[in-house]
Amino acid sequence: MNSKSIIIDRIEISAFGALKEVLIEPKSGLNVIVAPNESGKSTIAAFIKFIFYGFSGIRLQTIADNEKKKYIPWDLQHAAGAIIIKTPKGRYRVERSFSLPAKENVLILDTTTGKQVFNGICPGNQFFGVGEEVFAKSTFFRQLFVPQSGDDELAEQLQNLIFSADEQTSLSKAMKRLKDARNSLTSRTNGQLPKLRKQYDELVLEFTEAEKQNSMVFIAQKQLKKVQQDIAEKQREVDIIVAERENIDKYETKLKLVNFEEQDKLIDKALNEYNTAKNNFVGGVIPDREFIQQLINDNLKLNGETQAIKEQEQYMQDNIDKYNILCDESPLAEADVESAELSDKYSGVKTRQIIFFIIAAVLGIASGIAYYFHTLIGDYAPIIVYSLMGLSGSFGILFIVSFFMWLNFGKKYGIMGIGETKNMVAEYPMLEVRIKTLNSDINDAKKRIDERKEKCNELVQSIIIRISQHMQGEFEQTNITTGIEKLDSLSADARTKLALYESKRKTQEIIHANADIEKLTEYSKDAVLPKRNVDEVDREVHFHKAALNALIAKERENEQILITHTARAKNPAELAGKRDSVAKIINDLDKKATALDTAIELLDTASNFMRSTISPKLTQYASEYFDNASCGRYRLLEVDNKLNLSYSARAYTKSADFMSAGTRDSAYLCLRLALIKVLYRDAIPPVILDDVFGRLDHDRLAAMLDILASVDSQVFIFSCVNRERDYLLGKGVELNDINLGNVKILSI
Amino acid sequence: MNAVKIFHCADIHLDSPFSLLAPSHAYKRRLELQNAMLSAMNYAKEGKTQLFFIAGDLFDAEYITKETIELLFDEIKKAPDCRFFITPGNHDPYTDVSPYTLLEWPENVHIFKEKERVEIDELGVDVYGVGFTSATMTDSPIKGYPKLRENRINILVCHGDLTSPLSQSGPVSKADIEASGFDYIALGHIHASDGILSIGKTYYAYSGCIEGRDFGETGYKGAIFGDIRKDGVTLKGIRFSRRRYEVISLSLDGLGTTKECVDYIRQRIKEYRDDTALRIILEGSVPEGIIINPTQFGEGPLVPYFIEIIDNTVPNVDFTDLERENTLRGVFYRTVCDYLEQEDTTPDKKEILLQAMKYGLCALADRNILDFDERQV
Repeated sequence: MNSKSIIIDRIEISAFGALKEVLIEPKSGLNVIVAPNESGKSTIAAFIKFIFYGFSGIRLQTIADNEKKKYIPWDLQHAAGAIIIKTPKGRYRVERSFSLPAKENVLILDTTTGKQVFNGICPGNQFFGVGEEVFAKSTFFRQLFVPQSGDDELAEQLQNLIFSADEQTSLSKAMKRLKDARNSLTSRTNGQLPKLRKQYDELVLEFTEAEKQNSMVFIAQKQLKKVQQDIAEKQREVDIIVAERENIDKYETKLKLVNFEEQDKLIDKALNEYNTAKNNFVGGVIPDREFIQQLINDNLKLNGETQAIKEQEQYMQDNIDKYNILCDESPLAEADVESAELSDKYSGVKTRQIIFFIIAAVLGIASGIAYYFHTLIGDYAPIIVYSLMGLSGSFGILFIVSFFMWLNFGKKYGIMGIGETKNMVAEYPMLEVRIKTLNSDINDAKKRIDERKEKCNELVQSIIIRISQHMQGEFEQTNITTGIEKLDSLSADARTKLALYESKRKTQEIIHANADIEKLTEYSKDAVLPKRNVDEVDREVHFHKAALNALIAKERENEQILITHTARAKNPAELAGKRDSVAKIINDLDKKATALDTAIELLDTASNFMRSTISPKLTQYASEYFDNASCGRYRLLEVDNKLNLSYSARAYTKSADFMSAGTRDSAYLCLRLALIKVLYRDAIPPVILDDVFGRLDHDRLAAMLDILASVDSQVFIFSCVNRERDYLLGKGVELNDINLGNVKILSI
Repeated sequence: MNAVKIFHCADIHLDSPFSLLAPSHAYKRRLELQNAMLSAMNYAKEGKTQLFFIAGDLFDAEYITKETIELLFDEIKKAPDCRFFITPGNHDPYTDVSPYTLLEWPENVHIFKEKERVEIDELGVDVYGVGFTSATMTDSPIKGYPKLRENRINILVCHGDLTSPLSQSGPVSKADIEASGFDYIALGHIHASDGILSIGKTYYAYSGCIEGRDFGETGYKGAIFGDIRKDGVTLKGIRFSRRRYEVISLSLDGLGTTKECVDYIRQRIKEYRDDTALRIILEGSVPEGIIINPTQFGEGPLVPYFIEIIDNTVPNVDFTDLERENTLRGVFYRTVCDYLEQEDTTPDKKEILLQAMKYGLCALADRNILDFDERQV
């Protein structure tokens, strides 16, 4: 046995799993424990690890994986025991107890001095120089560590052993984890950092814009304030000028009030004047305008009638004059004879003369004829002649008489001469018409004159009566017009005064109705005489109000600008917070990404170191064991740079994939044994093999047991069959055969 | 001479972005900051404060909004009998584009720009002050004023840095304070108050900020209120902060499970309630795979309203063993250690290397190494 070997001298199990009060006393070299399944072999193996490292997997829930749940006896609620070991430095007793829920005590005593030597809950670290994990993965060959199926799994374990000296440590897996983690941070397509950097850039832009807008808000606020100050200033100016304007209004009101008072006085005066004018009339009744107009009309009518009478009289006189002239011109005019009668008379005279002449002539001719033809006539001729002659003479006489009567016809009318008579008689019908017309006109005129005069008298009386109804005094036709004019004048004057009075009174009434005099008085009481006229002030008010409105419009514009900037202005603090937060995350993740890169790089470096130094040594030891384990069939276990495990036979090299199950188990065991050799240089721990030879045939088992018999470690072989013990005993190998059915009971 | 009642605050930083918080939290905190300021002003009003001093950094000029300023204006106008004196600081300097210039402040506010004296005859007080006109001020804000009048209570309001004579933020020295002759100097710039101090006959104080904004400003915050007389002061600090920031370091050495760690942390932070934003710095070594998440501590009045975990724990790996291990893990560990031990390795690089070690060891143990989620803002 090597001087560095650590030997378990004594195993005292107070309570652990199904084992209670069990004492086992191993020896250096080979210790073979053969017992059927479920008899406690694995429990002893687990106890050894428990003493040196405590329970593992206590956070796991399954009983199979949680040693605490698995090995604390349910009836005692605690596990306890001790192991005595011999080391190059001394002999020690290691005690450990674990009580539920989590009370754990470890005591390490130097068996020589009886003193506690060091503290700590993992004495395995002290004794073996490795942690629980390494211990478990190197010296502790448990059933579960031997792959029962799956070539890839075994190959991987072998590769792990070679490249990491740890069958559970996979370089490729570790590298994949690291690279996956790094890629999740830095991948251009879906890594967090590119996304965050983009987000950061966007936030920087947003913040810049927000800062700008925020600054604009303040500037807009200032501009708005300035405009508001200008408005206030302008408003003051407007107020002053408006006050001046108001003073003008007040002053005008004051003047109006004064005017009201004067108007009242004028109304009184107008009333007095009206009353005075009214007293000119009988009973104070002022004839209305219609009445007066009627009088005027009647007077005009009267005057018209009077004028008409005069005209009629003139007309009549003219006709009389004309009549006289006619009479002067023709004697017939005064004869008072009818022209027809005269004409008839004259024609009768003239006609009879002619008729008498014609008869006388005819009769004379007839008498002459009768005389001449008396013979013819016979006896009566003389009578006839003479009668005719007598008749002719008679008619002749009549003719002469008529002739003289014709000649003297005009004398009776004062007309001399037959010719003049003849003319006058001939003209007399015309003259007679004119005379008759004149006479008629004269008579008509006379009649009308009479009628008009009568009418005029009635009208005069009517007018006088009506005037007398309103005016005192004697009126005759001669002063009717004067009276009417006076009446008209006085009544017009009275009505004018009344109208004036009424007008003033109504105006005043309207003013009084529409104006609160008290208020107006109050309003205008502090009015002073304006210094400027209203137009000038109004112009100025207009000007200042326009300026004020322009400023108000500008204020609205600035308000809008402010609102716009305010709406656009995101909160810079919020954006800065986000930006910085993203920057911090980027910084954190950058560090992590760098750390991952570093880890990848350093792991690669470590891996290269392993490949160049430890791995070759490991493969060298493993190959030596494997050469023996395969009875010289295989010389070398190799792993290439691509982590392909292969083995070399005398004539060829094959991938581990071609190994049989038993060969792979052998290779695995060889590698594990080589690993112990590589890992433990200062203190060689016991090797514990818990049912690991199941798939080895007799030759391979023998070869492996030969190897185990030659190693420097104390070896514990737990088996449920006697193959291992029989072989070893048969070969005369010195071993400690421990029978679990015959173990000592721990004396407390 | 009668006492004058003053209120002294500074470093309000209204509209601060609260960058380290999630946006929803940041928004809430901005409102809380506003409320703290409004509470302070209301307190000052109720306390019949005559002079209200804001010694710089009233707001963050970069982020301040009109709405916030108008809110402030409203509150100032509610106290017409109180006179406000503001000295712009390095975060809100008096520039052409500053709200100090662009907005019309209420009549009872005086904003200092050049060094000047404001005489308040009715109170028998002269208030001196100066404001930053850019982000830096290399002159001492304490020196260079008109000669003080002995028969007055002389008060200086300024934003200055007492920590370094080479400060770019108005360097102030104790010697300057002692020689100044002021009865009281209301200082701003340092966010933590050390209470009312005095040198010679001069009392001075940093009021501190009114509400902490990050884990660099731990504890409850507030302002200073009280009387100043010619012969002394009666001032006290008043808390106005709704929340506080606190940082606690916890060692998780010896704890084996996430539950144990969470229980332990919960036990240790039980004094912090929902008014606290708590940064928990985890240290020590824990078994690999233990992940502590703020959500594991729940929510409610008995729990800090915000928890940040800074996990500085190292995997509970026996590095002595790893140092010796001839496994890939051991080699990887030693490779990282070689880099860590190099002289030119900066602290940042060391941090990266330690993180890489965690990732590498977890990956080699075939454990989840994703300690980050898809994060969005």
